[in-house]
Amino acid sequence: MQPRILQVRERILKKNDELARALRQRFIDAGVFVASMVSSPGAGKTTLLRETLLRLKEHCRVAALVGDLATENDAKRLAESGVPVRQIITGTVCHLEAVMIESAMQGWDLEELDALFIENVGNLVCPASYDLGEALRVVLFSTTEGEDKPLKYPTIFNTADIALITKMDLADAVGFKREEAWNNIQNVRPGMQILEVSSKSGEGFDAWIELLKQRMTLAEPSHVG
Amino acid sequence: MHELSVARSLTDFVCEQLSGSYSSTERVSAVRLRIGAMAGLTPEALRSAFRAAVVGTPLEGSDLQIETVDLVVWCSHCGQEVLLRDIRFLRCPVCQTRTPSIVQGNELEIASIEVMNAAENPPGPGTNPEEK
Repeated sequence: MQPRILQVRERILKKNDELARALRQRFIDAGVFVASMVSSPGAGKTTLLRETLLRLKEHCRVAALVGDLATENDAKRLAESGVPVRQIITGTVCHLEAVMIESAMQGWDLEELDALFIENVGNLVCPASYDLGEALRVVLFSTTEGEDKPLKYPTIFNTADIALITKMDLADAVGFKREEAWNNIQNVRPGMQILEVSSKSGEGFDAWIELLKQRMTLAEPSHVG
Repeated sequence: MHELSVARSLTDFVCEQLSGSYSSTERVSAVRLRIGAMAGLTPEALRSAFRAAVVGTPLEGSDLQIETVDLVVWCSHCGQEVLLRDIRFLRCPVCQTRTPSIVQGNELEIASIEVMNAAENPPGPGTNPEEK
């Protein structure tokens, strides 16, 4: 017998893409700037986010969602900043998906928010394929990880909008080769903006907060459409 | 490894294309994918995830065919599309100019599905979709 061939030409993750698009539209309509953060485990996402929330809450209404395979420890650490935080426990899933963002936000009035930060599961592979509806994807890598991280994980660096090099306070101690790191980022994602920060010393935070404020201004309803 | 999540999305999508969905009398004999070199997916891992995800569905026993889509970027300096063998260096091999403009290579696509009618081609033991 002859098999029937269905020509499909469709994205495998179409459902996630469609939901992410709908979320992005909701964020735009409510004037909420949404940034997601990806990195390997231990690059300093939670500490950077806590410091970021502490600084931003003086200027605007911020909230955070944090994804982990298990435990609510990160949400507890972030809650120290005094802003609304919710933990997403993914179980065996190694990345966040749009549907997890949608359900975690339930009960939050987006009109009451100016910015939402999403901390992805520590993983430089899997989050690359999943759009979460964010306006800005931030990839972090720390001075202690090795300058070749971008070359090892080209896809995630390629999907990100901006790179943060974290733990700059340790750069000298670990012999961090700054030029090589910058060069590697530019190889996998030509033109990507790079900021160097230290959550411990505060180095680079002025530029980072300024960048976020600018993006938030752009997300205000008066600037849309 | 997000290959299992991808394989589940793939299985769900294919089942929805069948008449009668999961309880369809149709069986899938082959699924053809187009996976970009920059998509961040390992074909071998996707194959084993696929074998796990299709158990008890009309896709069980089907052949997963993966076409890898090469990374092609647009070089504005040369004014042409160029093929990159190494996804870690987004620079034109001709003029060495760096370029972020990806033309193809991010694909994560289902190209086609090959479907047989199970009534004419009875499934072997353990492949009955009703068992799920």
